Amino acid sequence: MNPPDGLSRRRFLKGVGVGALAAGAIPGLQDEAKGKAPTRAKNLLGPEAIEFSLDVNGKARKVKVEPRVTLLDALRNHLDLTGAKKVCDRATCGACTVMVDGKPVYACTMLAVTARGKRIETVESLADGDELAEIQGAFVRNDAQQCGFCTPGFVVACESLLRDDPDPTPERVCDGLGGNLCRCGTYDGVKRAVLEAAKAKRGGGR
Amino acid sequence: MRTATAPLHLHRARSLDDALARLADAPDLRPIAGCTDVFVEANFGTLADRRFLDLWPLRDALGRIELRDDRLVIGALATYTDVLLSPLVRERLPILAEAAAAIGGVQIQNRGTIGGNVANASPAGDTPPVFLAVDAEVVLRSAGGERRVAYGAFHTGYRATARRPDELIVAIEAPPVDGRPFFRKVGTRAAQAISKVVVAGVRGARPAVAVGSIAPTVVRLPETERTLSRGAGRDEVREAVGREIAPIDDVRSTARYRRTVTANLVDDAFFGDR
Amino acid sequence: MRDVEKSWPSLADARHLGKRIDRIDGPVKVTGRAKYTFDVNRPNMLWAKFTLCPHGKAKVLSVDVSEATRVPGVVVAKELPLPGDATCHWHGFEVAVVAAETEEAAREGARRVKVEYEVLPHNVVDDTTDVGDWVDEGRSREQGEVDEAFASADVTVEGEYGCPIITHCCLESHGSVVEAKGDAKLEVWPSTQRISSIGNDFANELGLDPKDVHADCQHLGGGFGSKFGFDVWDKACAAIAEETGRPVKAMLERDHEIMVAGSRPSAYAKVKVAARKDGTLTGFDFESWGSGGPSRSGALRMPYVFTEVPHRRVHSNVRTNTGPNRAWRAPGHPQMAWLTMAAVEDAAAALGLDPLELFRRNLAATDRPDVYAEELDVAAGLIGWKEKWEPRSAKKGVVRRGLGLSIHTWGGRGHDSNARTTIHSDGRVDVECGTQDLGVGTRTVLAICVAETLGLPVEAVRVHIGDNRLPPSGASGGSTTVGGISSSSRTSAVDAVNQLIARVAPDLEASAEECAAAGGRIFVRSDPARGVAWAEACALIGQDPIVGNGRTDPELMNSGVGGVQMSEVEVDVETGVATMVKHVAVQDCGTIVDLETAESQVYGACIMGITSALFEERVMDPVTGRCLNPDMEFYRLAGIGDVGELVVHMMQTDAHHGRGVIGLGEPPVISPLAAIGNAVANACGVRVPRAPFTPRNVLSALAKGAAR
Repeated sequence: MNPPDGLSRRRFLKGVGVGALAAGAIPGLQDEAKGKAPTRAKNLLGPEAIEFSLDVNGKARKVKVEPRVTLLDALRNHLDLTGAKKVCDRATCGACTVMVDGKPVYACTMLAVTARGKRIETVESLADGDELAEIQGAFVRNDAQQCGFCTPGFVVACESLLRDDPDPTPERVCDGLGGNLCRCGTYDGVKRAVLEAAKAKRGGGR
Repeated sequence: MRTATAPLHLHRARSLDDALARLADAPDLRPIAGCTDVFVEANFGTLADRRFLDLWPLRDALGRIELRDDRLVIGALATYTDVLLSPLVRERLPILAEAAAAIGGVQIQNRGTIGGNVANASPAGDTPPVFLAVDAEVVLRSAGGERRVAYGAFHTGYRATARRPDELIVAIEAPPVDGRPFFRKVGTRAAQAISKVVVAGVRGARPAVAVGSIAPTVVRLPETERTLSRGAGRDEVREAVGREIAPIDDVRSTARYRRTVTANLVDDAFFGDR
Repeated sequence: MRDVEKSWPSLADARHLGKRIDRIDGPVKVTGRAKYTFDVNRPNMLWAKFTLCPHGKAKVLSVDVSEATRVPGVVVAKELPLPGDATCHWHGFEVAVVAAETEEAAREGARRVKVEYEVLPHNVVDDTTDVGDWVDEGRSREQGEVDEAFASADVTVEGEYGCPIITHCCLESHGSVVEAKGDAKLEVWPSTQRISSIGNDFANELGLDPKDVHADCQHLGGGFGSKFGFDVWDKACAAIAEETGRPVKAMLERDHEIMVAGSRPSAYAKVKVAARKDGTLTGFDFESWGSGGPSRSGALRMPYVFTEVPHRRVHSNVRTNTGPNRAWRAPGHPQMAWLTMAAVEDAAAALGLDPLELFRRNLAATDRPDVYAEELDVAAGLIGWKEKWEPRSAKKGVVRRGLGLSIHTWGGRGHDSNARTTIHSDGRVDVECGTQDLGVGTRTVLAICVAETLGLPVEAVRVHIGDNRLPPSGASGGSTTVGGISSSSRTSAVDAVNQLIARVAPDLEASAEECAAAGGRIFVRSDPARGVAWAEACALIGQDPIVGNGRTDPELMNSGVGGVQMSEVEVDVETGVATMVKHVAVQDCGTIVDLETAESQVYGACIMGITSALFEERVMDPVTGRCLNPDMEFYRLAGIGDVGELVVHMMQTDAHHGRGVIGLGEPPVISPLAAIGNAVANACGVRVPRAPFTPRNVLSALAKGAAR
């Protein structure tokens, strides 16, 4: 379908005049929050970037980010750990699921600075080199991924579900994964994968 | 994520006294804990606050669930997961566990706190109808001392509460329940929906009915309760519900739908055989 | 006879074809190693974000980026060219772009752009034709003697049905990463359904030679028809990359994605059905309308599937100020199926007939009666139709179950595709094809086709896709990919292996025609012991590898499939909540390449269809013209607990296998809405005319039914 006449915006940035500006070049640059001059600024973090260390997948990783930066953005944009995905960006879809102190959380709604001192595990930590974790192998065998964009979040959610309950019922699987969404429709494979991995982990074979 | 559109300041509380001192000094500090609500608000671009007080470090002090003088005391920083796993809640107020189970996915349950759900004062919140139905009290503390507010007086308007800016919710206290409590929620997705209609109540000598998502705040239905307590039949009760509620017409649902469903849920709770 | 024949091996002879083969890129996906466009981080990269129009329709009076440029970290802030009338035609229309050192600063900058608007009259209402000038009436079309059919009908049934605009909601939002490399060389990482040709658009935009643009898309987080375009965000990304000389990432925010990056047209219709007492359909009359945003919604060619029944139809287009439509998996078909099958089911109910019987009795009016007849039997058995089905009038109690069905069709002929198979002297095999993987499993399909042809294990083949320097292959749309790439890869592998056989045959003292490749060996057909292992054979190749080229061959593919779906739902008539109990899909697709990923396509399509039936609608505010649910909390997708039990049955017989490869992405997504809608009607005892079947729509229909 073509848009109505005049809506085709081709080569549209050409000739629009130079908009490029180095922010620092503007005198008197003041952020509105800075202008408020908080009374107890010495006890507050931010708004400027602060340097701190995060315990990610068993390694101390230094980041320098503003307090407004989420754990998800710190992992993806600053540590290049892009397994956790940004999808809904508001605690609905679970694509950003990571484990913090062993519990699954949405990394999109946690500030990176508040994750200091906590144990962060991302999907990248689960496999040992090319040796897939049990749940990951089960995902592959049951084709629990299509486009794969929700998959890392599902894998982490499944892994924590199995750590919590090594022998989940199908109902428990649905409850435990209710915080993750998929658009391609891989749920059937995911259910089979969790139950198969649970059985294998308990030593029951596949 | 719209959260990050504006730079922010963050203070991490070192102790409850430290947090209360900060609030006394700078009442514009917004307390946050699990961030599950505040980030959603921010995503809409409606968040004006720029300075935040992170209460999560106080989990050890304010996250306990215990029994005190026969009253169930839920620390404000208890998460939904804490509530779900608490034998005390299961025994004393099982409908709170039901409400916690109905909230979001496990990722939300691990971070969202009871205090946050109450303080956030969304009319669609899951736990407020429970607290309202069982005549709970909100325990508030400031640098100046502690006070208690009856739950029915706590929610003063749409997303407004009786909490002063220098106060923190430290706990919700629920007295023993006289009767059989119930909790019903109709959302459109099994595992993750802001409740469309939530009804909590108590069946017994003094019937109680509290409803969420139908008015600017969670509300009790006193006329319905009176109708129930004098032993009226189901038709009369349904009519009372219909007269008493003025639903919010928003994206989640429409007014007529909410009125119908509320009447059906009340009917089912008091007269149904399910 | 050729040494290795081009035609597909039979079901009995095939080693890989049609078997369950695990997705070969499964491991990179489950470990988080798969890099999507959204994951591409380049050194010194800028982030681009957009300022969007908050009105349904508005003229832009002025744009002031000065405050945005003062945000620390902002490098570029500029207004975007608008259409000639300087008007934004929907909520979410892009007005300005801001690029910054960090994602946070870019967002803050975009918010600080000040725009003055003159708000103009708009329309976002499309569920009625009573919207004044916003309707374009269509032309009436007629086939057969329609008036006579209605005049002589035993019964005439009237109904009105509809489904709203829904969106694509790809989990990876739309966008690109662009890097200018000096000397006019451009590297682009677009999230695209057409990697082979998208580079030309970037080249054209920046005035470059297409050869100087390298486009790469290894993984794609969903497309569903919404990622064919070269969009405003791609152009802005390219322009800023060129201007600043720095890499730029422009990925849409979720609200932006839901508002503008793809929608499926709504469809509504008043339908009249004429039928005889025995259930024979004798006439249809459709008065339909729908909206695809500001552009045309596309006519609905109804009746669907029952095309031979005499019919009249007229379709009107409602223009709305909403993000423009894009092709949505099986364009038009789910809507046509719903509007037709609902009317047919209502006719069955009015006649007091089991709809399954009525469908069976009318198969002569379809284009593949035998396929449907067979599939109806299989589906009915799998769902227990005979044991479970009861008429609407029999439904009692608060929680009621119901059954419904629908049938569908699709073409699915493969697109033009080129592929190259290379055999190296150390035995390695590469297959290269300029296709992309939307989640279908195209890498696995290529590996299977080549491994089957060369007589090797699937893991022996290395697959290269998602790059515009590879042999060009078509855009992935309309279920054309697997047909195209299986055919091109097969022919390329046949070419390669025949070259290899030609070199080996003299050593085997046989002619090339007498030899075959299978089981990791090249051998003489008549005396299989006389042969050499693959590695040994390849050692003869020498320094220059063997290169086989292939192109789509019509003989290896086909088109035209039928499918049947049946659904069992449970409806709580007090709360109006409809839940899935069981959904059965029976589908043919000719030669199945990989049974495992083929089944996944069908499972996924069913779930996508269930989502559209129970949850999805883009809600617009008629007063402000704004989208009210541009997020994934209120634009709901089904969760794992919402889909019930799913049963997928692929028709894989010698007859189906012998047809050649046919695409599968679209067909199974067509019927769920109709089957579920019919099941809801059967459960409730009244028709719920408007999808999605939310508590509100269900209770509203029940209230109207009770009032009658």
